[in-house]
Amino acid sequence: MNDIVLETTDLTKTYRDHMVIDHMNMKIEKGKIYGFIGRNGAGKTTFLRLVTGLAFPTSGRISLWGQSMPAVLQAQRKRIGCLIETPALYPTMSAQQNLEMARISRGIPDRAVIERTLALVGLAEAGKKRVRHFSLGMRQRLGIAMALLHTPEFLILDEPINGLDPEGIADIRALLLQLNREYGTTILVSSHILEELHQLASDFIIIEQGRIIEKISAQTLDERCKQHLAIATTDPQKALLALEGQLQTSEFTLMPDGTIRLYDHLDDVETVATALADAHVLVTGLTLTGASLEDYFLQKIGGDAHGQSPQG
Amino acid sequence: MVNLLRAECYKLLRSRIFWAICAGYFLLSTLQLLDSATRTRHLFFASLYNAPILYFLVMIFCALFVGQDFSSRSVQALIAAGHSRGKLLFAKWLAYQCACSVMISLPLVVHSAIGRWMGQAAWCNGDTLFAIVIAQVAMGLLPFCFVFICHDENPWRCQWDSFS
Repeated sequence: MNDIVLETTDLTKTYRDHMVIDHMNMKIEKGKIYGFIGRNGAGKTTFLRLVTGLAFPTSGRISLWGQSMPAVLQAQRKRIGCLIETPALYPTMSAQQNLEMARISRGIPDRAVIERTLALVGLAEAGKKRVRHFSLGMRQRLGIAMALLHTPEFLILDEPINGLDPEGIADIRALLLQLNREYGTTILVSSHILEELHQLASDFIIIEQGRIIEKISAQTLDERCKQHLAIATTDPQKALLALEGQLQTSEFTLMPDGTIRLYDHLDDVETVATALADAHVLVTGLTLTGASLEDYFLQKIGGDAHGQSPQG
Repeated sequence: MVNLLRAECYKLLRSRIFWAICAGYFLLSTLQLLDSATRTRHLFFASLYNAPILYFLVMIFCALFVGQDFSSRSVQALIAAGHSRGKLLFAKWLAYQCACSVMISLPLVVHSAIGRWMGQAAWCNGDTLFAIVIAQVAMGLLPFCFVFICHDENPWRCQWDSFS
């Protein structure tokens, strides 16, 4: 129970007749980085608003660190740092003043935390500048700084790298990985930049039309997306022997459906075909395939948008 | 709760809107003394006479000071930070009310002091002072309620949902 930071049970949110979140069941484990992926209007931001208390569920239950009673739940949110949609900043105040306000409202006694946090997000030189003179990327960095000010145990970030330059994206990625590694911070990141998310997250949650259609670890995803030669044969066992004997390779996997995934000789398909033919193995399919997270996501969304989707 | 109040005070003291409207209120009230001073012997009551006329500045202050919390999304940020809606509402109301009281009371105090310096005997008794305090609270409450009902950041339905 202590390892579960967030748990939702049959969580539903309806605006008039439109169901935005549809009986969502989710568990977020402590110490992991989750990538939250979905199309526009899939329900990502609505879900994050429900978790952070900005909206109330129509039905279902949310529990944080095992607590689900409303008053206690709201108190538990003090352990969360979040950036939902756009950062909450006063444009007439400077970055330091905005952080000072956040520090005071959270009751953080140490004033030095402001300078440290600004340095963390690369705004050390812009502390005295008024927010209305900030670029989009600088505002985003300041929003992340405000989420990190109290060293939260659970960090929720909705599109955190919007407007950031490539260096800024790399800096924020490194920062989040550092927080996770050194402090064990649990992180839930929603982003449309899937390749960036692929480098960051240890688990992925794919949501479509308010329902989770898949929860998958990065390791499993890499296995599924890894480039390989997909070999379909009438005699998989004989094919495996041929690959091992003639190609001197053991980098292959026999899938449950009988196809063989060969991760070697990817640029030498002819040799593979010849080896199998010499072993009198009838090959019914031989294709080079593999997918990025984007391809996997598009395939999942496209495949599941027209059918019943299992909950994650 | 104390932290929320401290944050509101921090914001108030650094709010140019507050200081500008305070100064404007005081100047207008002083100008209007040219008229109201002829209606009573005491500058305190002459200044008090102008208070309802300058009520519109209180409304402007409310719309700008409290309304910017919605446009800047800081209300949402404080809720997401774990503060209860009731405490947040109370802290904002208290800070805003104190600001309004300063705004309305400043001309009264200054003009009364000038009146005393000029040899006028008037101040006000306890009943009048109590009535002034209640009137100040009432004057500030209505625009405050309207700001929370009519905040203009996002569609009405989503915002009310986040604060209901």
